[in-house]
Amino acid sequence: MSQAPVTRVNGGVARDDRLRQLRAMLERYQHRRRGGTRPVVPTGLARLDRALPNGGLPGGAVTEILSHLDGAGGTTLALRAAVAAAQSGRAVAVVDAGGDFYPPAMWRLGMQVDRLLVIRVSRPEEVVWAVDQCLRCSAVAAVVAPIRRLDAAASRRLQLAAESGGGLGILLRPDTGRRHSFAAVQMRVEPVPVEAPGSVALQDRGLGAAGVDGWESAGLQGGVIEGRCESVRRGGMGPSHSAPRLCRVTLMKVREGTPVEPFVIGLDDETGVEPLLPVPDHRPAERPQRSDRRISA
Amino acid sequence: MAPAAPAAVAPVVVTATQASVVRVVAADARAVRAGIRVGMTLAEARASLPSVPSVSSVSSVSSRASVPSVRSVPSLVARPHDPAADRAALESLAVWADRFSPYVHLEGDDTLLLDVSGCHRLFPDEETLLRRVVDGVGELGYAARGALADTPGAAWALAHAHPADQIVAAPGRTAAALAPLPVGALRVEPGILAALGALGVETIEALLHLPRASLGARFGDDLLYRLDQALGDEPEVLTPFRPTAVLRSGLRIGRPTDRHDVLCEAVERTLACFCEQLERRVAGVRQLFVTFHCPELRPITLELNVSRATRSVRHLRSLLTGGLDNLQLPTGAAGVTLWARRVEPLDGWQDELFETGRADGEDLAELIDRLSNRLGPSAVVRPLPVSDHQPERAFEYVPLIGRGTRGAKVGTRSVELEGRSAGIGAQGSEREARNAELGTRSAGRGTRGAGVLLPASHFSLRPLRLLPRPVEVSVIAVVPEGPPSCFDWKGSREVIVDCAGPERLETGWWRGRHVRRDYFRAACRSGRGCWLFRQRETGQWFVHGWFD
Repeated sequence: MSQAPVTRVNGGVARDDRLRQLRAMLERYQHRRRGGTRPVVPTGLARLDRALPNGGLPGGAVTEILSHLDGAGGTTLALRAAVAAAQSGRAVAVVDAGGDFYPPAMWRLGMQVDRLLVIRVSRPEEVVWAVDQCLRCSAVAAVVAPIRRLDAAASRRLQLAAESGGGLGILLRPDTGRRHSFAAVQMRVEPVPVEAPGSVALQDRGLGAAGVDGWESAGLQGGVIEGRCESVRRGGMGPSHSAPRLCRVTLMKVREGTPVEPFVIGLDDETGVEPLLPVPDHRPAERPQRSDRRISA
Repeated sequence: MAPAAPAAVAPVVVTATQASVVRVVAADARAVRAGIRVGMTLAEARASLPSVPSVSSVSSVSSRASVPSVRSVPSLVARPHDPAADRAALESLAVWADRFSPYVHLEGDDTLLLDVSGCHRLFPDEETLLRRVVDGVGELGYAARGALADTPGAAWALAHAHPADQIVAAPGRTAAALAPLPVGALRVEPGILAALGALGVETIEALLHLPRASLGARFGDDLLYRLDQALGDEPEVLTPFRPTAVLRSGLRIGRPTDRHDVLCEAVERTLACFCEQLERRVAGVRQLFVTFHCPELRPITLELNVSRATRSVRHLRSLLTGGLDNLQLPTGAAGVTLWARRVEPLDGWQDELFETGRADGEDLAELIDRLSNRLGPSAVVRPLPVSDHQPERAFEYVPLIGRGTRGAKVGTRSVELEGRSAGIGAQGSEREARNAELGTRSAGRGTRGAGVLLPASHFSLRPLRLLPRPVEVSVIAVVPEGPPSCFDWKGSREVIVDCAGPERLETGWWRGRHVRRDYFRAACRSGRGCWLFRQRETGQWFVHGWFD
């Protein structure tokens, strides 16, 4: 009992220290179990890399990208990461379960033609088997596969396969709520809705109002982009440069890292360059508000 | 090409069933002495033998009959004709004959043609050369006849029709040597022979006396062609036989079984023996067949393809085990044969001592093999760019194993990329070869070598996900031919807030149905990116992909 007051006095500091120690231990343990440090694969999307520990997706591990809509941006994130991983000179395997993978778009992202392997299977157990085989192969830098259902045993098996092969496993899964997974990283990707407050009014404003450099100054106001509507009018007809798409990424689980708040990534299909977005750190107060809006919308 | 019978008591004939009649197609010397002729039915042949009861066992001369039966009457041994075995024997002779000439040509079922131009200098004279060839074949256990002449046709005729077993036609005297031979020595069809026979033209000499012009008109060009070939007026090209060297090794299972472990064991042993043979030849295989011989049933054959030649027991075993798991044998198998149609030289291959330390390329090749053999060759593919405006056709999938399918698929469209892009530009066969190279490059050792990277500007802006077929949607557009403003997708309305386009794509009339589309890149209010097009003939709208 005599020690209790001491503990209480130093409570804050001691707990912090203890937590840090535990975290370090856990990290050491995990490192040892996976046979040392795995290389980290930066995705090339600066905002995402900043949020991930060590600045990228962990190699030799499975990353799950959850998204419930076509066109949310999950495939772009996955394939850009795969292209980045292919810089190591190894191959990339894409499992085309839906028959809708379009290789020319991936070449455009910078994929080398002779390093891309497409596996066209649709039966779920064959998809899982193919992913497992690819992950176990050390000559494959990344595997991208849409997987509809994955039970816990299969999830664990894929993670172990990735650890033995050392490649990047990226699973695109439908977003059906949070659930347990053995993946090292689990993130939810959803499109950021574009608010068009009175698009009629915008039309009335005509092209003149769009002279503003709409994009750079685009503000995130409650998760809603203004200024994007400006570019509607600015784009107009003709194959011109259109505004980048935005997607909100929620890191739901990150091994060896602390979860961060949801953040928004801009995806520019045209240039492939990540557009500059205002760093949302300036408005910490808006975040809860934003998620509220999303739910109500 | 009947192998000389071993020292057996009974005469041996080889029979084949022709129109439900079993006929003799070959007979050994003992049978011929007994009056048996080729073409007789088996019953006639048996009848022509004196019915002396003899005690001979069938299995002593027949490798096929596995049951040693000591029946009392087999005074004549009849064996079924096996054309494949004949062919294999002839091919093995062709390989052997390679020592006399690099140009050994297989002609028909029973003849080897050797181009010995220039080779005779290595021998004292032509007679010696011919004698060594014929005697050598005889030493291998075959009855052979040989002839040496100025032209392949003349040599064929002399070997087949001349009474002597070995005959050399003096240079420049081909016509004289051929003159007494029957016209049947000219390699013409039986119908023409019958027509000539009806006219009383029996010998080549008689044929040469007929006016040439009428010969062609009456009997067709084939006769003249063959005649000219024999006389040297028409060139005859000999294609050198490449020893495909069918490699096989087999194992007989004592009692037919379908037990998985027994079959696995049998396959493994056979495989070890097979790979040993490969090692001796410094070769590897790209395609491997496993045949299970089931009694009273057609043999069941599994095919195994690998992306690059290999002779790794470990790798092949892992692939075969997968195939064995799915194997359904209606009855037990009594034997296993592993065979390959062709082997490829595999120089500088490091035979494995340990399971580690393999290069990435080998790893990848083995991965491709595993995937292809379970999922099928068309499921494991490499996309290659195709120069075509229509988005669905801007690429094609090329299987990574199985040359046959690759050849069949490629070749209708042409790739035309700028030469700088590591040159994937070629047409026809050259392109096919290029594809093959692309297909194997990453699988090969050059994984870390120069990759084929095309600049991003080479490709138009396309969505990463293209629907397998466009889905028709109802669209509201403010201007009839203008950009869409909203569309219905799966029951909900997508409002378009940003639209880029149109990108007008048309295809040529020669491609069949016209494709005339105006594509729009649309950003929806929900934040999704969509790729729509309006069909210009009908004004219908389709969603074709998602910028996902």
